[in-house]
Amino acid sequence: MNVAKKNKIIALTGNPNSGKTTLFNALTGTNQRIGNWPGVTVEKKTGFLNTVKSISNQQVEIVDLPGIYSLTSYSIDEEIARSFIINETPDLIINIVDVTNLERNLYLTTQLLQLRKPMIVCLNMMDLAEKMGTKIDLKLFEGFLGCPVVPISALKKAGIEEIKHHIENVELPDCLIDTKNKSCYVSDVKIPYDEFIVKEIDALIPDINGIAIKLSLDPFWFALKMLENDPFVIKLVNDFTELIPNRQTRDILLEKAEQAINRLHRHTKMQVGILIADGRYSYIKGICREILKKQQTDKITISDKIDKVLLHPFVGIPFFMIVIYLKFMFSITLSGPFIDFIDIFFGGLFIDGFSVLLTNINLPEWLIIFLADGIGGGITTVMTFIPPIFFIFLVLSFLEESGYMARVAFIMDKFMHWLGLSGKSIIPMVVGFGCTVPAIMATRTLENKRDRLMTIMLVPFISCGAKIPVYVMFAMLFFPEKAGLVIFLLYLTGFFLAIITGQIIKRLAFKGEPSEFVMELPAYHLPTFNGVFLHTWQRLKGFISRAGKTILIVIILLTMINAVPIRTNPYTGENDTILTYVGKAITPVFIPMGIEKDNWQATVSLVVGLFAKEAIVGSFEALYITEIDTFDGDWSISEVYVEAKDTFLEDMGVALQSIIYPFKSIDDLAEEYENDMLINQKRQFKNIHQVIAYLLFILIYAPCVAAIAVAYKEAGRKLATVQLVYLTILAWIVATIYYNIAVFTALSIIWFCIAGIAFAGLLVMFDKIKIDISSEIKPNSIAFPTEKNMEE
Amino acid sequence: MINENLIPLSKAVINCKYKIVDNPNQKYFELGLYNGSEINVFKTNDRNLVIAVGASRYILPQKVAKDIMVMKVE
Repeated sequence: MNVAKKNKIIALTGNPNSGKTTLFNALTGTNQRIGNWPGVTVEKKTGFLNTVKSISNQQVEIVDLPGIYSLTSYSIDEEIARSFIINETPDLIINIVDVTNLERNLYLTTQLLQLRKPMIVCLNMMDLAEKMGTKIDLKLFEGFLGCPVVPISALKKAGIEEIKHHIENVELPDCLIDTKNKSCYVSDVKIPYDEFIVKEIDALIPDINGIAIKLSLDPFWFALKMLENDPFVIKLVNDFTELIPNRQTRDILLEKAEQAINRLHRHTKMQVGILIADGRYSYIKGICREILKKQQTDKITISDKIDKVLLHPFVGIPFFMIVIYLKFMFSITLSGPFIDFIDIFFGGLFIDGFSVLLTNINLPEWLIIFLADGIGGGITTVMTFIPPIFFIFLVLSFLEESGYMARVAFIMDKFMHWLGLSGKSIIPMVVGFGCTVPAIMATRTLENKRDRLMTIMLVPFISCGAKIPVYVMFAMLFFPEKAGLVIFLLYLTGFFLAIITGQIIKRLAFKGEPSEFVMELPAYHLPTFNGVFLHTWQRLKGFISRAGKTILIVIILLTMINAVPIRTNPYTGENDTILTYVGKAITPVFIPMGIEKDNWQATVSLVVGLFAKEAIVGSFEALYITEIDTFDGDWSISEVYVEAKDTFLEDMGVALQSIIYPFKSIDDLAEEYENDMLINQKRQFKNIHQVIAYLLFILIYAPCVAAIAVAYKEAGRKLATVQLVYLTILAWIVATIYYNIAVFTALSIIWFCIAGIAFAGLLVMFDKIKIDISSEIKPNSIAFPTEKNMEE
Repeated sequence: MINENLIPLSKAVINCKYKIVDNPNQKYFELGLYNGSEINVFKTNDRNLVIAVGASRYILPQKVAKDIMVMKVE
C-alpha cells in the first residue's frame, strides 16, 4: 500500500560562499540568486528535489541555509541557519565544504558530525582544487569523518547524481546505512578533546541527558556547548520549565556547568571555548595531513595582486566612485538607442497598429483610446524602461559575481565609521541600488543591532531600480543633454542625505560606537557570461513582471477612475473626478516646493508611488493624457520597423561617441523621447526648478509599501514608523528649501522658517524616541525552540 | 625568552609571515586564526588589516588584531 509520507527535509549548510546556493539550484532546478561574497543568502530558502523519480512517495524538500563558520552564531543570518539545523531536525544534512579552503571549512564539519545526525559531506570545487594540485584520498577521508564524502563541482553540476542517490538512501529511523557503500550516515567520530574536557563532559551528561534527548540533541554535544557557555544552550536550560520544572534544579545544573568551566580554566589557563576549538583544529590538522596527497600551500594569488592595487588608500575610493559613475553613464547612455527603438517600434505596433486594428473592427472611439493609448501605451512605457534597468542590473551582477563587493567594505570602512556605521553596512547599501527590500534583508549579516537598525534607516536613501524609470522619464525630457549626469547627481544627493542623516541619528537615536567587523574576502572571479546574464535576467524578469503589472494596473485604474465625474466644479464648470478632487485637496501641501495648483496629477502620482515607485510612471501615463488623436493614417509595420532601426543605428553611433568622448552633448538621443503624455507633463512643470524639487521629493520620500513592510518585520513598528515620517518630512523640507532658494521670493522666508521648524521637529523626534539597541532582535523567521513547538 | 619575539598582530609588518601564538577570541579562533596557524598581512589602514590565513583572506579590525599575539616566522 502506498502511503504518502511527510516530506523528507534536506538541509544544505556550509561556510559562507562555499557554493550552497549553486548546489541548491542544481538540485532543485531553480535559479536562486548567487554571488561571490559572503552573505548573499540571509534567509532559508526551500525548493523541491528536481528528480523524475518519486522517492518512496515522498517529496524531498531542500533547504538552503545562510552560510555559517561554526555552530556558534553571531548574527541573525547565522542564527537562522543554526536554529534550523538544531531545531528542525532535518532528515539529512548536506555539508558543503569548499575544498580549496579545507581546514577552515572542516571546522564546521566537525561540529556537525558531533550532532550525530544523518549527514553527508560534499567536497565542492574539486575541479579547482585539482587544478591547484590538491589530491585527496577520499576513502581515508570518509573513514575519518564517519559519513559519506562526495566530490562535486556544483557549478558544473558534477556529482549531483551521487548526492541524489544518498538523499534517496537515507531514511529515518530504521536505515542509516548507505546500502551502496556500506557507510554510515550518522557519524560516530570521536574528536580527541583535552582529557579535562572529556572528564567534565562525562560528569555533566547524567544531568543533561533527559533534556538533550527530549530536544533530539546529542548529550555530548549539548554538554560541550554548555562548557562553551553558549547562550543558545544556556537559554534552552533556563526556558525549559517542562523538562526541569523546578527552578532550583535548573539553577543547580547551570551552576554545575559554571563550576566545570572554572575548573577547566584553572587547569588549562585557557578559555574553555578556545580549548574546545583548539581540540577541533588539532583533529582537522591531523586529518588534512593524512588525506591530502599534496598539501595546500599559501601563495600569493592573482586576487592578492589585484587587491594590492584596489585596496590601496589612494586608489580604492576613487576606483569605487568611478565604478559607480560608469554604471550610470553606461546604463543611461547605452540604453538611449534601445529606448528610442522600443518607443518607435513597439509604440507603432501597440498604439498606432493596435488603434488601426480596433478602428477596422468598428469599436467605439472611447474603447479604442482606452485599449490602444491606455493599455498599448502602458505596455510601451514599461518596455522603454527595460534598457536602463537591464544595464544597471548587468553592472550590479558583474560586481557581485566578481568578488569586488566584499572589498568595498574595506575601502569604505573609514568613511562608514565616520557615518556611525561599520564598513560591512556598505554592502546592504550597494544591494539597495537594485531594490530596497533585499537591501534591508541583507542587514541580517550585521552582528550589532545598532548597526542593523541604523543601516535600515539609511538604505532608502540609495535609489532603488524602481526609481530609475521615473528619473529617466524626467531626465530625458527636461535635461536631454545631461540625462546621465542628472541621474548620477540624484544618486549622489541621496548619498549626501544619508551622510547627514547618519550624523544626526548617531548623535540622537543611535548613540554608541559602530561594531568592529571581520569579513572574508572571496577570490576574484572573472564573471561568466552565463552567470552575469542569468543573474541580470532574473532581476529584470522580476522588474518586468512587477512593474508591468503595477504600471498597467495603475494606468487602467486611474484611467477608469478619472473617467467618472463626481461633481461639477462650481467655479470652473469642469467635471471633477475623485482623483482631481483628492489631488487638488492635497496639492496645496506641495505648493512650497513648486507644484502648481493645477498640477494635481503630480500630487496623485506621489501617492500612487507609495505602492510602488515605478507606478509613478503609470500614473503620469494615465493622468497627463488630455487629448488623444487616434491614428488615422496608413500604417505599415515595415515602415515602423525601418524608422525604428534607422533611429537606433543613428543613436547608437551618438551613444558610442559620447562614451568615447564623455563631455560631448548627446541631445540627439533624447529628441525622440517625447509623446503626448510627456508634452503635457512638460507643460505642467513650468520651470526646471519645479522638476528638480519634484525629483528630490521622489528621491527621498517614504519607500514603497513592500520596503516599509520589510522594515517593520526586521526592525519593528517603531523604527518603521520613524523611517516613514522622517523620510516624508525630510523630502518636503529638502524640496521646499531647494525650490525657494532657486526662485527666491518674499514668501520664501516663511517657507524657510516652516522647513526649519519641521526639521527641528524631526530632531526632537530622534532625541525623544527610545529605540532599543541593547539586545539582538529576532525576525519572525527565526524559530527558537519553545515548549509548544517541541511538543508539536 | 619567547616574549621578546611576540608582537600584537596589529604591529605586524606587511608581507611578512607570522605564526599565531595566542588568540583569546573564540570567534576569530573558529575562523581559522587558531594558535599555530600562519598568517600574512597584506594591507593595513588605521582601522583594519587584510590578512591571509591559508587560502582565506579576511578584513580584521585593528582592535581585534591588538589582542592577537604573533611571532615572526623566519
